[in-house]
Amino acid sequence: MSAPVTTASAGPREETHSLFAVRLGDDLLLLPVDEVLAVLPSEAPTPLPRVPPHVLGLVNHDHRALAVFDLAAFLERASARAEAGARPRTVVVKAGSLTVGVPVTAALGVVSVRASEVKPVSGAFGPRVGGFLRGECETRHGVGGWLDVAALLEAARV
Amino acid sequence: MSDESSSDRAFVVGGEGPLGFALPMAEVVRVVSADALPPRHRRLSLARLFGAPAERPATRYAEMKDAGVDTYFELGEAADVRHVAADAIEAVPLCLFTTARRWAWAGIFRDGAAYRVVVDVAALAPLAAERGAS
Repeated sequence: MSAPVTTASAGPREETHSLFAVRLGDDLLLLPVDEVLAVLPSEAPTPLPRVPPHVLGLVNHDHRALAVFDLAAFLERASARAEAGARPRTVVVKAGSLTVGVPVTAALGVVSVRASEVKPVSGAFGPRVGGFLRGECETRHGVGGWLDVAALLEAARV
Repeated sequence: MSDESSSDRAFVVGGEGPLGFALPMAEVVRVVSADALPPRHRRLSLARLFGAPAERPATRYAEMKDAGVDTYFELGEAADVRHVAADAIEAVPLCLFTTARRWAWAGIFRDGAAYRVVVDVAALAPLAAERGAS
């Protein structure tokens, strides 16, 4: 879940969600902030044998081996590594017992989204991504897809 | 007498590049060259499982306790020994669990800039194929 917060404004109270915005290729994706552990400079992972293409390999994070998954490849979207001029980062996400590094084209920071601003999945992100979205939200960075990180990591594990 | 800590574990390591494999030294009976292999044996190429090139003249082979009679693991040319602190051996990340189980990855540790995957010999041995010594 996404650390719901109740606003302290004078009007009727409305739940807001704190989401971490990342750009993954052309897509703006929103991750619950409490499922984002760290944002790291991207480095080339050590490749692993006998794994599918979306498993890029291992990097050392906090003195532990961290598996790095190319979720853009898994979701059949434009690669996060292909965009020139961007500042690629690896976002460390954790959902349940699974912790994974995910290369992103850019890490944009935290956005707050009111519950009423969360729209149903429109299909704009394509059917593959749409299956892992909890909804879509307008943000200052554009329309983002709110990722169900736990479902995505569970599907991508190998 | 070894001056290593009692919490250290010894491994025979092999493989080329940034990822290799490690066999627990306690399970290694002996390491031999190709000309010391028995005429008929079962062989499993760890080097090839980990992406190293095909066998070369100086390739070494390990006979292991739990692998069965006349079963040898091909180590490649770069076989060596490492002593590793027990707490430096990590579990394979859980998101790789199915792959780790299939290919008998029992753990992982850093070896300089490289990673070494600890191989569960008994689990991997059934994949060994019957060969004649070359």
